[in-house]
Amino acid sequence: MQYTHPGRSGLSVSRLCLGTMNFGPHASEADSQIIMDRALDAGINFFDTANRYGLREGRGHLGLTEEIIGRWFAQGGGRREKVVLATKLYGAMGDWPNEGKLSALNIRRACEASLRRLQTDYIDIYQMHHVDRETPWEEIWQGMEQLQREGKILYVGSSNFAGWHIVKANEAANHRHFMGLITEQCKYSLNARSVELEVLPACADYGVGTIPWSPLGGGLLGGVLRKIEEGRRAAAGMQARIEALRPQLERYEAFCGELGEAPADVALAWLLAQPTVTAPIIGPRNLEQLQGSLRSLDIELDAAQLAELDEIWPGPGGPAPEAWAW
Amino acid sequence: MQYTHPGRSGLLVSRLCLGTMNFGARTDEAESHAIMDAALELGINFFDTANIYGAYGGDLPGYRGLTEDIMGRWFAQGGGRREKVVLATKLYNPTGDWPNEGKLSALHIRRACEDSLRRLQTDFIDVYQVHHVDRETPWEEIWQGMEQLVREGKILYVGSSNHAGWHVAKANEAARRRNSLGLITEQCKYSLIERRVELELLPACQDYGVGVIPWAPLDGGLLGGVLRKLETGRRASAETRPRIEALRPRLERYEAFCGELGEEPADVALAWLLAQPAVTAPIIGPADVAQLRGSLRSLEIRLDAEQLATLDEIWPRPGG
Repeated sequence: MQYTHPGRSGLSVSRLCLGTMNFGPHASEADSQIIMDRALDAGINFFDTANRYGLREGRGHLGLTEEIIGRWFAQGGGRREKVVLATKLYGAMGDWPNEGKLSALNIRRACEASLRRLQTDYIDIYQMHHVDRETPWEEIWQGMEQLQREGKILYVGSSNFAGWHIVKANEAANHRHFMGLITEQCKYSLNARSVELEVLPACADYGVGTIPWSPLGGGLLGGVLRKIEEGRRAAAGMQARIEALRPQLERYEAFCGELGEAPADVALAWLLAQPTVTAPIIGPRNLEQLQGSLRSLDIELDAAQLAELDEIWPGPGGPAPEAWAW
Repeated sequence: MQYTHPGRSGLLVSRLCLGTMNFGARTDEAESHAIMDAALELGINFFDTANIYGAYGGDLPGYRGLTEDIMGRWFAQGGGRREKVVLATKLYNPTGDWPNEGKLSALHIRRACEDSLRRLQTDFIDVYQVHHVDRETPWEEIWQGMEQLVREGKILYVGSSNHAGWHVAKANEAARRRNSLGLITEQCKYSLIERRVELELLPACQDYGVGVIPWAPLDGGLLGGVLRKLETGRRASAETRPRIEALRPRLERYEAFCGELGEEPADVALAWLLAQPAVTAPIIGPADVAQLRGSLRSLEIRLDAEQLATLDEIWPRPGG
């Protein structure tokens, strides 16, 4: 396994991050536990979850994923010790007005609830799941600093932030002599590249590692055309997206075919070749998918191949402001 | 004329900003002077230029600095001309071959300002704008250079142009640490056609109290009724033609929408910008006095929620 530092931090994490969003609603507890065991065996030491994971399409409940991870940690055998554990807060866990967002109150309560579900005494990276435009950074950092002093968290990360939110957050942290964000988890893939305008340049400038979520564009980059030919059926929403992107998808799958690699692995390898990327999130539902994604670490795309991918999936034209001005 | 504060500043500027980019190269000095006189008479008190304006290259006459020279000779006519103008100019681009003639080093900030003051025949610039982000100079150096100009009375405010949202945030955080006012304006490419600044730049400007000054508000004329003009025999340049073809269905809908409103497409494009909360004043670049007078109509057009929604349909917000 390859390891890297997220942004400027001294932490070492694997270049693939195990996403746990399917644990509970789409992968049974037994399968989830096997996936985590195999991930550790493969050297993946970076696990990402969120307090709200566990409820999807009417299946499961809010918090179920953390509970599954907690019961897995409770099996011992060095499981907790070998994992860099990242979870998130922001989304509402209940109806009471303060059960969500980034008030000092919710920061304290959400963290305690995650620790209880995860059956651990600290979180390695505590991530804000979304920017909260109604809470000042003084309050957010005061809440996070208190958790850090109490030994309940080690690092803070963000998710779904704009580039300028990262600047504002880390300037405010710097002002308080606090370390600030070390990671930003953002939607980023070959077919969703708008973060190249501002988020990635800001992260590079401030030493924040990026953790792409949805690295396969919701499955579009996982060889969707070939799967449909083989008889797989796409959901109604997906079908419309496939039709809109069909010419690009055809070129992409042909390109991957010539390379002799699975489209999903090429999509991950492309992200791994981007300088600000720490580790894309992989969300395997079974062991086969987990084993498969390890291949992405061995694919080295050369300059000509990267240029062809830029042609098939054009980015926004570089960083801001050059992308639209000069 | 309507006036507004650029961002959080106490300054008052007209809601149309007179762009001077054509002065010298495309508009002769006499017409340029006539445009500036007419602008003042109409209440436009906000003039924007740059140290490099005046040279377009190709067959056009001119040199870098000609536009400031033309404005300087106009100010020198007196009659309260300089006193009635909020004067904005810019530095960044190379003014010569010597390695420090350009960018935002403390050295170039000092020299570029002195050169602009000389050409403009004035002793101070109201808004001194960095024409582009300089990724190789730290903000400590840029602010030190600008603060010195403020202390010497050579500039009053600092603005930016062609910055990303996160650059604006970083610049103003650095200024705050120095107890310096920081940027009060950001001049960016923004129009119904080019809306990507809505993703990050505009929200950052609003958060930091920075007024937005859209350049190319008609996107090089595309929003100025280009299809109708082509029908009436006007010819489009080689570089504009493929863009017109790519945008033709939208341009058709847009010109039809403006026709139903009974307004000129150019005026609707300006009125739409004026309705955006972050916007201080779009830059208008009239080629003659008649065009200048025409653009005042945009200040009278009030687009209601339904009309704004139709414009969002024709020219969608950024995303994806």
